[in-house]
Amino acid sequence: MNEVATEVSLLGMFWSAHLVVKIVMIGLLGASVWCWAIIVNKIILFRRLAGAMDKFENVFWSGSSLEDLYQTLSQQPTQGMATLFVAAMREWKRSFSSGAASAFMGLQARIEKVLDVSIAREIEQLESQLLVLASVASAGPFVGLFGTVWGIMSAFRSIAASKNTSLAVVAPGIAEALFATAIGLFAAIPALIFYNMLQGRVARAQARMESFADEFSSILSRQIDHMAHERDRAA
Amino acid sequence: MKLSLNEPGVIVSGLAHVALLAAALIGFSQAKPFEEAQESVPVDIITENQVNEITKGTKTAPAAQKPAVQATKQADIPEPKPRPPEVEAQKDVPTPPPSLKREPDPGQDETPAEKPVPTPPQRVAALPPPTPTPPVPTPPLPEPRPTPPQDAEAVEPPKPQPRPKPDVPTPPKPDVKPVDPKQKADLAAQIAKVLDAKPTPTPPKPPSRPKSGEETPDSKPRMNSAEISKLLSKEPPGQKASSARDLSQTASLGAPNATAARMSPSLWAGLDGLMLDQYKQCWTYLGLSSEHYIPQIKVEFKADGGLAAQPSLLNPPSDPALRSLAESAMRAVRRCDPLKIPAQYAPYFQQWKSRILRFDPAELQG
Repeated sequence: MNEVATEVSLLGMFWSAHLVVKIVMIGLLGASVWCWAIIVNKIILFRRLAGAMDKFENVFWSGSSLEDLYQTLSQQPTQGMATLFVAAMREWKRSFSSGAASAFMGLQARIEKVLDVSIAREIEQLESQLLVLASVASAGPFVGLFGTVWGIMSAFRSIAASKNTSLAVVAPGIAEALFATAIGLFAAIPALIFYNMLQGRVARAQARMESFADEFSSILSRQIDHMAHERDRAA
Repeated sequence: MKLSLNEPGVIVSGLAHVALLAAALIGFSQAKPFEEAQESVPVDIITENQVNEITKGTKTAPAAQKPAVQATKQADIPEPKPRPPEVEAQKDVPTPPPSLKREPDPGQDETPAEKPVPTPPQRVAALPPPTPTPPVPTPPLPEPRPTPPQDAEAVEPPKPQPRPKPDVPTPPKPDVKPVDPKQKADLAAQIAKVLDAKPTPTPPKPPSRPKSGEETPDSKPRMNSAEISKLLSKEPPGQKASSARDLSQTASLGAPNATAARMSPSLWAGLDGLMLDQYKQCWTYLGLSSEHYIPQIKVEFKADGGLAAQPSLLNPPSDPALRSLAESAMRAVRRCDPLKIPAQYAPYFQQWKSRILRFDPAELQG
């Protein structure tokens, strides 16, 4: 970079900036990269989740044997509703494998607990790193503003030292200082937008899983009552 | 955050930012400079006439011909006015002595002297050197007083003032005013007779003549002639140099503060030489002037060298015998109309458009 380019080019503005401003710029740029990485990952994750849940619901409501479905799903990593289903079925099987009659007494409550825990885990996984977006969205502009204020402060100090107030002398310092705020906004704006969007998707996924959990627990509850009745009749 | 195909976010985001930065670097590599903003400076277009008016300051053209002559004199006077009451009276007295012998001092042509009596200022400037050498009494006296009057006005005044004191500054004023009407009539009559000039020119002359004419003849011979002659004799070099010229110019008419172009000394010398040569050819005078009388004629030039107004004799001779000399000088001025003035002097027209010509018989013959 020669001297002339230093005055106006983007890289020149960066190199001529104060160290603090440089750190702010680099930090904000890193935050932007991180935010976008999270955004891309989350979008892909939600898309897969939605696809998996649709697929699972189709299979679940197709009337096929739950036993077969459990055998299939328990062999592979699962997502969303499938996880709930596998967790509930595992608890169900465990209660029957123990063979204790008393197992029926609390089975309903245990299954609901298991479903709640599974939903919580799924939601936690979905929400993970969304706080990063929220933080960047709220703090990014302030960090950028800090860099700008610092840059302008040093620029004014330089102006005072050089005792030259012509715009040509003042402008580069202020431009590079404003550059920090620009990067801050550049990182914060997408973070804010996608945070809101992803938060909405999490809420939707959560509602969908809870409704499934309710339905599934009601099915299992009916099944429990049915088995208990048969056992009473057998007894 | 692990790099995997399941979560390609880091890779995608990193690549996107690198691409974006590259694009930004290219896009911002050269800041587009603003188009040159021409700073507008308010400019008024001024015609040449307006420039002349500005530089000349008080030039008002009330009436056509007569007023013009008077107007210029009055215009000149107003500036000095603050001093004039004292200064003019004082100056008038001192000036005469130098004018007779020192007229020549050309070196100080450039110094803008007071218009009414152009010669005096020059003399004044020239005199300073003499003052130290000459009579001891005069220099000391002038100094104390000069300072107060000077404060009001220009730097030059100091010189003229010294003399006035010894001469008795107050008397000149009363003399000038009362006498004016009387001599005006006389002079006007004589001039009308002698000069074929129109009636108009005469009126302007009287006002000017009375002052210079009365003051100069009266004060010069009576007061300082002896002392002045001594002083003059002591300055041979100055006299010789000055004697070479018949023409003594009036100070430039421009106002002191005007910013108009000023003629350099060499230009003045060249112009004086030109005018001298031409008037010499036009001037024929037979006879000897025993007395120290040098007709002073105020001439208003046009830009092309022609006469803008009737020439006026500033110091009509008291002696009828000398009238022919004055007449010959007036004739010379009219005969040399228009004067041939090179184009190079055109820009300085304001400075030489009004001049006082001194026709020294000795110079003509010499």
